[in-house]
Amino acid sequence: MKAALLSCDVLVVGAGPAGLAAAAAARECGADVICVDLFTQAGGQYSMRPVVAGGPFDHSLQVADGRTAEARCRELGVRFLFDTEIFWAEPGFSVFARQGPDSVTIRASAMVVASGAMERAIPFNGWTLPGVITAGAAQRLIKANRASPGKNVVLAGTGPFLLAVADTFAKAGKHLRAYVEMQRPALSLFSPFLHHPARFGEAVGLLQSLRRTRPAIHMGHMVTEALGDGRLEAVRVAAIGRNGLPEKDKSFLIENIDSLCIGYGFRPVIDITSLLHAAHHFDSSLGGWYCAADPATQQTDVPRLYAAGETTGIGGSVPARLSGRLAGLDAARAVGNTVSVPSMDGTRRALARARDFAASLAKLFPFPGHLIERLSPEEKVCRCEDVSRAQVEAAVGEGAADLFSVKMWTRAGMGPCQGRICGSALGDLVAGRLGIAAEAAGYNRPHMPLRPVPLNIAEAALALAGEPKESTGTPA
Amino acid sequence: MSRFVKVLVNGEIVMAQAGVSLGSVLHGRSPALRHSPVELQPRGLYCGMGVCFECLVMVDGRPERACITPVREGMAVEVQP
Repeated sequence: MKAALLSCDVLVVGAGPAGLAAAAAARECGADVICVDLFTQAGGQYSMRPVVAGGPFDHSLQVADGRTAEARCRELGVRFLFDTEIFWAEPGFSVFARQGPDSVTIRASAMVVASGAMERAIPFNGWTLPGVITAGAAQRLIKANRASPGKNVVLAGTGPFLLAVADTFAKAGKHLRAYVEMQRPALSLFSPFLHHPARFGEAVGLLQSLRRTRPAIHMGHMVTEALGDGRLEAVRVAAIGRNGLPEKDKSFLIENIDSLCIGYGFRPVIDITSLLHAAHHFDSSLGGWYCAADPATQQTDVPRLYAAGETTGIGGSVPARLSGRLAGLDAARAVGNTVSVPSMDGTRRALARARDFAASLAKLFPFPGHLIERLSPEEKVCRCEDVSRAQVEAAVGEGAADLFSVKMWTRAGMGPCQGRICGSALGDLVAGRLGIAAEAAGYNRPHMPLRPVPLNIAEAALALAGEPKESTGTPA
Repeated sequence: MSRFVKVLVNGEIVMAQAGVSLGSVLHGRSPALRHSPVELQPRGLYCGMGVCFECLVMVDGRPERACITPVREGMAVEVQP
């Protein structure tokens, strides 16, 4: 194992659309930039670049976007560190990470956190069965790995991302047994395009793709249960009633399936920004808890700490790129570079417009957090520590009134995922039980380590915190 | 032409395209990869992006998330079927 100490003007966390835009913008102004990412390639979950060439996604718009943005960064001299996972950060800024089998410590004068989004899961009966995967996981299997989630697949949940996943199945020549969307078809679904007609063609293309996968389409329905002995074999699907909950007497089984890909939307990844004490706010239509940033500069309330893209609220790749650019330019300025861009007003207006489109879409597919009420008492909420709904509610009954106390009582959120998967549902469960707003239940506070890391790597990275100069070596 | 590598899964040889994620290979073989720590329930790939740790398997004696681990020639993998 090696231990490296690096320093830079601007550290960009995440090489997705926002991170790549920020890195390029800061570098254009002359800042020395390092960009780190957990994955082995740039582009983020948006580009999801194939690791095996020769498939149908090699030349997709998203893959091309990622390649172009990375090439631009490399041309400018951005230093990339891939397979790099941050496990701790300190104000000022020092960042500690695992890079492959090695440790890396990075000191930066400014930071842009563009750590993206993750699935906003809603636990349901049978959701831990092998074969039940997130909609995002399905896309990664097909696009990046040219693999398949299964032979008989049901795609379910809500929101425009489901259509993007169906499009992935269509482009790979795969069929879907069923497509289950909570919203009913309605003319109102077209309303966002009245103000954003340029996006209409995209939507029509996605609907055509869905048809090519030849699914049974169940709008106004949801999957209420996954069934199987040791692995997924069937799902129960129910119509949604006027109260927004599934109707038991209007349910049916879809049998002989081996894969359920389910997605209810995304939530911002805020572990690094919350660790560095930036302010966070709650808005369900933005994915729940998000990092607050000045829309003019993307600076958080911590000086020289910037946030961009999904970290500042779910909005997709367009606002991600624009906010990344604003963040990169202002971060470069903050560390002493002259920003010679004449005016950022155009970018700011475009960002506001892109955010407006995302908000109008989000309104049509509201996050159904209330569905947690349908979970059986014995079903798990926290997968890592096998904590059931009944255990969480018992803790609330005994006095636990927020996510932190529920964690202390039950271990829910204490496992390797650190509440990333169950956090949104735990918030809704606790809030529902106590009759309080979801934000009053709080969110999982970051703890050392943010992500599991081998002890020798953590030790080596932290040991370099006080060293004065860049170095690479083998720790004694 | 893509290159193939040999991976040992519980001692059995599995061929995989070089560079793909171990998770995609294991999921295609059988979705159950491990048992949950408290109730020993079967679990498998879930988030697919390194967040949930449900696809944690032993790779050359160390726990790794299969979904973000590329396959390598001769990799020895232990799953709990």
